[in-house]
Amino acid sequence: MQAFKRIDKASVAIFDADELELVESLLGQLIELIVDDAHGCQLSPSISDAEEDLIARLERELNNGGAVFEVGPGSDPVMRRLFPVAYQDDEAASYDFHQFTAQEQSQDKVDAARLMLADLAASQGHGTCEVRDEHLWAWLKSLTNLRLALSVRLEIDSAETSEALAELPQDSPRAWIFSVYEWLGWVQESLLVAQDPTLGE
Amino acid sequence: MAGDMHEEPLGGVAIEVRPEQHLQASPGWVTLVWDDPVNLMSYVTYVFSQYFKYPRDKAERLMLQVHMEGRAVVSMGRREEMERDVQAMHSFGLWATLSKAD
Repeated sequence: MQAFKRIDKASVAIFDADELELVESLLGQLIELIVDDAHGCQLSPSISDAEEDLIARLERELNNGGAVFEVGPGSDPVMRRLFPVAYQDDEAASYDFHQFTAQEQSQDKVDAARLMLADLAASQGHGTCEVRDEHLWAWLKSLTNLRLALSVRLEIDSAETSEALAELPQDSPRAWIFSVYEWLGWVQESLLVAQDPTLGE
Repeated sequence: MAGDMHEEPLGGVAIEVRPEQHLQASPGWVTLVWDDPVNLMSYVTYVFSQYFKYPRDKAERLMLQVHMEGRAVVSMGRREEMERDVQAMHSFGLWATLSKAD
């Protein structure tokens, strides 16, 4: 990927085909994870053709054991990190807060992921991806949500764990996931620095 | 935190409040942001400056406090306002909680 640069009211980067496919797959899995967990909540049912294709592709990947995120009862740790407690010492208040906010928070994450997917889909064929200013937060939030989800999968709970993961042999599956996690961090840093170069200092 | 934008005056009537009375008023609430091993320092600084509209040096100072001390008070005010701020922080992927001010 070539780093983001600002052009007019947008940030522009060039992704290669593998990178596009990877991020689209991860975003699709993230959406499915959140939508599945929101049973009972009415999330926006609108689903584009591109998403239907993605989900069909994801189902194939899932059947081939390619899923990075667990869907189902095992997804709890990821959901706990995406929807953390609001009161440290008050379970009842935290529960109320969650009940009140879960639907809106879930919708926000799904909408953000869909916006980012749409921008990536728009770059197919020429690889140049344009992130208009109105979509900036959708990208920043989605990149964060992807990294949070991967960090749970990688069991990253401290800076030391991250360092240990960096030492893994390159052919281990966890090393690959960790490199994706780091690359997403680089994409996010690139997007941030395009908005404000002093952030990278 | 003195001079914080979210702090609201007590009531709508201009009354001269003696310092001791002010201290006896019911406690306000604070939003705490907690350190996590995932979020980039640049991202946390950006969130603080964009959402709270803090000047850059304050946003960076708070980010560093989160990073080095494990947590920082990022805003204070009524409980409902702090719940709104916590919800916003969560939407950015930061971990935040609210509690009564000491």
